[in-house]
Amino acid sequence: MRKNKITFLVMELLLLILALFFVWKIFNQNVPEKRVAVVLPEAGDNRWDALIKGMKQSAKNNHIHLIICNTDEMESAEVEQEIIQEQRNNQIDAFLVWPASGSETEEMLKNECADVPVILIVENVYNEDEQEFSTFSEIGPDYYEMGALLARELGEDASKIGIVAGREESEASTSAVRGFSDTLEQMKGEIAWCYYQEEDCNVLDEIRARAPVDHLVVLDSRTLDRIGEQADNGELKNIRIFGIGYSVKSIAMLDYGKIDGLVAPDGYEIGYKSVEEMAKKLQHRFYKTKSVKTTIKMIRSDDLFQDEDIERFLYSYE
Amino acid sequence: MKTKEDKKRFHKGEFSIQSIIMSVLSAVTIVTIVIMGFLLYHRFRQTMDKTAVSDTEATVESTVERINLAFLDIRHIFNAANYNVIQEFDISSQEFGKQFSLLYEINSDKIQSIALYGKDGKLIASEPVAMEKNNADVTSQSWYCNAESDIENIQFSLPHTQNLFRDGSFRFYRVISLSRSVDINDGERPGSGVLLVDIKCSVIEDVLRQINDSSDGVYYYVCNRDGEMIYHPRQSELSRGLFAEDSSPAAGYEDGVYEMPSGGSTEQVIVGSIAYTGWKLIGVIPQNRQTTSNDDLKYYIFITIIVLLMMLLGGNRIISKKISKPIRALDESVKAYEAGGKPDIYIGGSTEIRHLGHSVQKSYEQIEELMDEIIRQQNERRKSELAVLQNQINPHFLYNTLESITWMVEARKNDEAVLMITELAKLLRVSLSKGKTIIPIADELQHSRSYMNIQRARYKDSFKTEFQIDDEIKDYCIVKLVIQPILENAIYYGVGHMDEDDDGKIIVRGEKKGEDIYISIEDNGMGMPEDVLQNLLTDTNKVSKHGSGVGVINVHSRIRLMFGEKYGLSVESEPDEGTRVVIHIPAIPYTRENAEQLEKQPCRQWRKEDEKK
Repeated sequence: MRKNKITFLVMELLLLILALFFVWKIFNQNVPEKRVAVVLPEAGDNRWDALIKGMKQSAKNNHIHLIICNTDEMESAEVEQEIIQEQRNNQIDAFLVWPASGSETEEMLKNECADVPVILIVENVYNEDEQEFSTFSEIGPDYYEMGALLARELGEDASKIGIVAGREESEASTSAVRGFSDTLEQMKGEIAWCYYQEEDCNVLDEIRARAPVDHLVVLDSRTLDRIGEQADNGELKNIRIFGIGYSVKSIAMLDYGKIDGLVAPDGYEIGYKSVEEMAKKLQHRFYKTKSVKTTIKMIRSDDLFQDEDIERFLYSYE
Repeated sequence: MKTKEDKKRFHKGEFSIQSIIMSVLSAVTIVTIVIMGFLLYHRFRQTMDKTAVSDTEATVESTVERINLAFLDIRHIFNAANYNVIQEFDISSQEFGKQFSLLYEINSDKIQSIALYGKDGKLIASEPVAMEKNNADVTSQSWYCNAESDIENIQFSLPHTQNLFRDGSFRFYRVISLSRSVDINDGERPGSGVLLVDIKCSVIEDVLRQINDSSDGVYYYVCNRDGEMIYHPRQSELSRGLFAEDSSPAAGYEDGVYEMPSGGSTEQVIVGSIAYTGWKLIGVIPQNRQTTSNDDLKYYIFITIIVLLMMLLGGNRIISKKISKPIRALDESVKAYEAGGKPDIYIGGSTEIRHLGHSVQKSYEQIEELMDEIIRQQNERRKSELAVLQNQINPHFLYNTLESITWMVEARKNDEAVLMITELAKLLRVSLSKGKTIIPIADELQHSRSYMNIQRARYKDSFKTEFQIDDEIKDYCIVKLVIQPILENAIYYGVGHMDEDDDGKIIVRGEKKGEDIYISIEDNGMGMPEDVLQNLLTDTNKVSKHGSGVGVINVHSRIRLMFGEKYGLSVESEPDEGTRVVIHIPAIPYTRENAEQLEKQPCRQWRKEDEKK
């Protein structure tokens, strides 16, 4: 009798455990989505349209709740730190961060995000020592290659080239300048000057203040849009402008003939893959995030409507 | 504690009735519930699949209808532009421009631009007014070529980025171009051109986005007959190879529901045709969407099954316990009875079990009665056996004694004859003892003395007799007539044939040692050979030809019948030395109660002693 009772109780217990397991399975499907904060400078700017679209689609696929932080310009690591601290109080599970320029950004991110996963987007953290690699995974284009592409586009006949780059303490700017310079060096091109932008500067005034050039290479998307608007005016009128552009405006300016060549990174892919990679990390705690170099495209005004790839780029901005 | 018997039973595969009932009920319950669960799941799944398909079908139908209406509306606009404006007014007239502009203004929510091109691709009019792009060669654009090649019909292009005007907004517009070759009036000269109405892609994209956003896992896309994608909710992923959609098979289907292979499984697609364009609206119910909802359903059914099982197992246990309880109680009481106890047989539970209990109880009662009867009969038999054994004394001895008396009377030895008769009378008195079997040792010794006195007279005092008896044993019980046969043996086999000079002697000793009494009869006669000694207490067929005819074995049997196996005789003998027979009996004080008790139940006592052994 005792044996029967024990068998019965064991069976009931096993069934109870099984029932609890299935109840857990049902409720486990309704777990709240992981919250991922996206820290971008001027998040509302149209240069991020494709990137945010890609992020949203990937977030939808991977059941991630995206919080795109409402930001202005991020001049320094301190400003970025404030935003991150603010989001840390908002029960954020992970961060996708565009790193502010400056060598102290990496240290700041290590301190602030020691216990949450972080993936850098668009560009890597700046490091004075070029040989030293960041400990963070980065999903973004190869800026060195973009600079090299632009140099090749300018070709052998390019002389008197002026370079307008972003902030000097920015990995994207320094890599692009290095890529451009290295490639141009092999092609015997001549760089008249290279200007790294500073806080509260007027780029056009800085260009005017420098020696006249035939070709202007703008390695910062926002500056390219600004210079492109003024392309038909004054001293820029006879200068051929090339650059790196993220926004649909850059492509439109190429279409309008205001700029002559454009290297465009695939913002949608950056956004999509960064969220996808973060989703993997959040699903599997021990997953090690990987750096991904995303697609870049050389766009010329002649083949803007012939190339199906461009159509794909344009669709991403809608 | 599990007994050895239980373990043996378990190994033989025998189980209790409760286990069997519980197992059978549980097996039936599990099988039934699992089958029901499976059928329920199957049924629900079918219903859910059907519901998903019918919902998607309804959505595809209504969406196709909405797009058709939108396209019909656009066609009306297109026809209005053609027949009511271009063919009605001279293109150089102010009224033409006014009407053209008015038509655009009214429909600007759907239309990106309306433009009229001449035969050479030169822009004649456009709304909204915008600067034409320098590098926009319309004659090479597909919408223009299509209009030129098929002048009768309105041509629908695929969605594309408009490449006509620059409006200074630094934007691109995705449009679907409707174009047709049209007749135009340019002054008095009739001519032809191409009318282009670019409708905003949002006209259909908004509709499709709306249904995709509100669908639960199902998605909808539009492609043309060749499978070229016109709209897909994951268009950006598709174009980057981040998502795959093979639209070619579905594009070839007529309207309806189809199953299509997809990544090792099947997905259901619902195809609807959009009018004027030949485009297909395709609703896809992906396998993984079905799996998610099926998983939910599966978990709910599993939980239901498990909870039902838990409840039914509990119920089964109660039922099996209820059914088996009276049977177990009956079994327990029978087992207790078999173990030697005398419990009441359980009578309870259902009618059948009650009947069984009654039957078992009755059977046991009958067995008890039979047992008592057998014991009673055995007692009677033993008593009669004892009586027979005792009765064997009389005839021979009496005959011999009387013969001796006769001889004495004839020889005029009256005193001796009187003595003989007196001793015989004493002997007979003890022999009779009012029919009792148990007498005091004193009486038995008196009997022995009388007997020896008679025998000595017969044997002319050729041997001597000596009684060395402790007085304390005289008031203890003894079976009557146990010493006399031994004395008889001692005479016939020992001292009876010895000459007077041989100094034959029989010594009777009696003493109490502990709880037992030992009475020995020792002679110095010729003794017994080994083989005779060995068979003396066992060979029942060996009956003495001498004396009373009561053998030593009879005495041995009677003592054992009365007092138990551990008591009786022991014999020691050496040829030419003599024989010593010891009577071993328990020391039971002779009282009326003890004597009566021994008389009544000698055999029962004997049996109890056996069991104790």
